Amino acid sequence: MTIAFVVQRYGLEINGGAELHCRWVAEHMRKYMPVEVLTSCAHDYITWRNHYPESEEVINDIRVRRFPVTKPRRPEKFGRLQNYILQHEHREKDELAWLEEEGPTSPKLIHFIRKHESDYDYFIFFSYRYYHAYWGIHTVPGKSILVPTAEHDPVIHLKIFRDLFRMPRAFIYNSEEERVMIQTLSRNQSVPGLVVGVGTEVPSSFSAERFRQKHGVDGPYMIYVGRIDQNKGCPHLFDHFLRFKKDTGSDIKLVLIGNTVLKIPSHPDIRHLGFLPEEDKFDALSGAELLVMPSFYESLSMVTLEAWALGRAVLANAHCEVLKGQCQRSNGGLYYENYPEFREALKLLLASPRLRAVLGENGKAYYDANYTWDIIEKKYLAIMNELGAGR
Amino acid sequence: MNSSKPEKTKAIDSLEIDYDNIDVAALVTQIQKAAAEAPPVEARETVAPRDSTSLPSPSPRDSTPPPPASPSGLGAPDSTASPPGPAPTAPRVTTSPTPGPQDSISPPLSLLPIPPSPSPLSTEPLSGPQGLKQKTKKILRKLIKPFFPVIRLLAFPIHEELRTTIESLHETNKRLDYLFQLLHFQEEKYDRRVESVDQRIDRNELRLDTLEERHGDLEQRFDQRLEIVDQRIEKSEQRLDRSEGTLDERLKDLDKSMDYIRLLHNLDHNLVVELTKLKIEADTLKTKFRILEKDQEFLQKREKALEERSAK
Repeated sequence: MTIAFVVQRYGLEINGGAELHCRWVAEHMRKYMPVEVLTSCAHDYITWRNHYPESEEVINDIRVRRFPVTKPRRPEKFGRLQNYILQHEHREKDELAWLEEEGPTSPKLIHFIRKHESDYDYFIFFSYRYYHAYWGIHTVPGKSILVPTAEHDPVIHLKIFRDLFRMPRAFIYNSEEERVMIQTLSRNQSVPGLVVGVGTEVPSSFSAERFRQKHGVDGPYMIYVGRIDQNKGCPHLFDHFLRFKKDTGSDIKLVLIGNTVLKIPSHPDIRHLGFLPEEDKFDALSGAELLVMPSFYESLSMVTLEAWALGRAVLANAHCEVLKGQCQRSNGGLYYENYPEFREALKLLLASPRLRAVLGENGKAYYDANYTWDIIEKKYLAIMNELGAGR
Repeated sequence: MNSSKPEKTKAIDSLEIDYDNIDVAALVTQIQKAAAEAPPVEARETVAPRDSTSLPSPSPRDSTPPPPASPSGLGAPDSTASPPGPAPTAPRVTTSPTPGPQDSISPPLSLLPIPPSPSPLSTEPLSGPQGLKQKTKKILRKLIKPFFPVIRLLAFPIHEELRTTIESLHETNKRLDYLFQLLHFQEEKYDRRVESVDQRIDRNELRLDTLEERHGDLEQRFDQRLEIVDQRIEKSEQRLDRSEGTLDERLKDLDKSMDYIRLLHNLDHNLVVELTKLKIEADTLKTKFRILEKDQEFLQKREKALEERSAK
């Protein structure tokens, strides 16, 4: 059995959620079967400009075939198109034009899939909303498995996606909420699907002290890890945090890890450390009082799983159903809808180390039961065996 | 874990937490309750002292009438200089020295006309019946005309006081008129706004009704289409079943034909074998016959030779 993972970008230096998810799953499934990756030459997810050469290379023992992007995305035109289709009545043609503008538009990738369909047993497509997944699944519906990585994003309601969700042979969902959302939207209950998610690579050793010394962080701190972006709810986090400091006089600090596209408020208790290597990230997580996840849209939130893997409590945005559901299922974190709830929840967490410890333990137990790599691999194998048996 | 002897249940900031069996959903419900009960910090921060020059809001929520102004306040000499801002907007009922339509004001104020204030120093009667009364007045005025200087001398201080009071009351009246106009204007403004909001609500309700109808219609259409699709699927399944039956029969026939062909093939094979054997036998017999012919020929020749020898 040979598997092809089809993803919008691929590389060791690419840390986007779905892309990293794909790489980790591919690297783990390599133990069981020959695995290849089909991807674009893009590195930047805003424009999809060709960055890598059109070639084959081997990354961590996996053959990666790259195909060029013929039309880079023009963000302004894309924004206009997206506003138009979200705010006006439109036709399917408009949605397809939007999809083509969204990219990464790589017809060669689709031609390759069509030509080499018989060389692979299954094509596992990541991220439903991109060109490669839409046209790839249309090319090989009988051999396609979709990992949608869908969020509560307005574009999921587009007609082209409702139809798309009925096409693949199977689905691999990231969370129960994602499954319910997609099934409610597209009524694709007849398409087999399994909630799997993704594991994480927890380093064997990590040290909070090392992090504090290296980055000069002292005192208690809460941590946010991820892209510092409007969509991730960061402006709300800054506002809530500053108001919390003002209202309670707490000495808690906010440590931010990740690249930013926003202006971060200048405050002595807000520390932005930029993008850090994995080792530093885990060191920082291990020393934090809690992880705060203000994001409104998540299909899984790997960093939340990482915090739970380290036994850290989580404070999440309840507007994100996935995060709220994960907190409720794991009993590993609290969630808030507005500032008063944020204030009370954070006050409670900071006042009670025991509560933090219990939530962290619950989170770890949940992680061990559902998101270790053994379990993830078994679930992937199970769905492929099930499809194989039905052939 | 900073407590050396942990309790099973502990209250933190009035929240009950069962650490051995923690339920995040229940805990968050308690937090939400606590957040709702906590004094809103934003409100404390944002409540600014009201602008002393602003008028009290005429909104329905703020409809409690302010305490009535004291008559002394209305007659204060400095009341004319003060801006018409913080003055109470209570309808004037008792302060006007001139009984008129304004004195009988009852809500709604906006429906009543605002009469012009009379001049406070007018010597003309402000109101009263014409005719006999006026004639009597004229006669009396003529009679007391010679005593006017004495009357003026005696009544001057009272007249001055009365004049001042009337002036003051007039100013107050003007102020109340202004306020009344303002109130009238505000009420009209709010009425217009309420009307506009009502219209918008009506429009939105209409739109909502249309959308609901459309939604219902779409659902109905969807259900119909779903039904049609189901029927088509059912028909297709039936056709498939029928085709499957026909195919089974044809397959059986085909199996029979195959058996027959196989039999014929075996027969052919056996016949070929038998014919081959017979041919070989025929060849053998031919060969034997040829040998026998030669033998006979030889024997005939020998017989002839022997006969010739015996004849010799």
